[in-house]
Amino acid sequence: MIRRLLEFCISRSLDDGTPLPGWLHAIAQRDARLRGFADQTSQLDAALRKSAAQHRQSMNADEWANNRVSNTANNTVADTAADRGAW
Amino acid sequence: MNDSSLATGITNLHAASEEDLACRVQRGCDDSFTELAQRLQPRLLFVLRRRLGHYTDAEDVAQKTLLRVFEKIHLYDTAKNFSPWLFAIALRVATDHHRKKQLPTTSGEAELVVEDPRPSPTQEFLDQERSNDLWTLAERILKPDQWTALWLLYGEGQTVREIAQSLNRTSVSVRVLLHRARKTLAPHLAKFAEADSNQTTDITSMDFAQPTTYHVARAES
Repeated sequence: MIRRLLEFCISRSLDDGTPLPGWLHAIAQRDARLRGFADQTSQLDAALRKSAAQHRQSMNADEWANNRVSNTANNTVADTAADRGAW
Repeated sequence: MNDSSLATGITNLHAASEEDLACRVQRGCDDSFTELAQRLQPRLLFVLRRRLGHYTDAEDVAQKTLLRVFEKIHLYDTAKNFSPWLFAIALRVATDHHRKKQLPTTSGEAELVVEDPRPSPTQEFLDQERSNDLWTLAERILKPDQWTALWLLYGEGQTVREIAQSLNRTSVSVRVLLHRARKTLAPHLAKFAEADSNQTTDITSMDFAQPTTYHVARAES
């Protein structure tokens, strides 16, 4: 129960992108299972961050499909705007 | 953005932030909306395709979202980040879309609706391209809200509070989602790294997740 709570605290630090508080770090160093969780989630954090950055860069690869969505939206918006007499 | 910057105009729209562009759209600039739409659509499609499961549905919802953004842009608070506001709309539109698809037919006759589980050629191509990707693995083993919360954190750079706004949940609930997502995903990381280093292995063929379920919806009068 306590370990679950401490794991949640470790996860919380990752959410906020902050280092583990001193007291939690000290406990994690002493408890092998908690240290294992901290190491594992920290590696996962780094891997997800890296992979997400790669995805953001490669998103333009789907340009043909994106343009289809964008053009339809833009045309409809232009019609709406013309109806309103905005532009 | 202040009036002077609008008066002089941002000559290069590509350099403007999304918040600036949204501010300009609020004041009636059509070019800014075009620029904004071009930036947003790949990000919307990336999330919506995973939420809805079908590329065509994702395209429909992305279009509806962009239109909703245009219609409701006056409600956007320019002091805040644009991304949470956008995804709050997108996920709401996606929920509506999903709900409408499940509504019974008006004919009054029971109808068996079987979704074609096979991916479209486009989807197949995109899936193949991303088969050895950590986010695809996450998509396979996490619940939709867990995956979305994780992506909004890492892919969109949103804070927990902003994710809560996007998902229409409390901050605590989002923290629990993220924690459970990490706990589920972490044990698979080593297996994934192994698969990733071996180029011939396709993680989609590995037994990471629960068995795929096909949805058979029976519409009743």
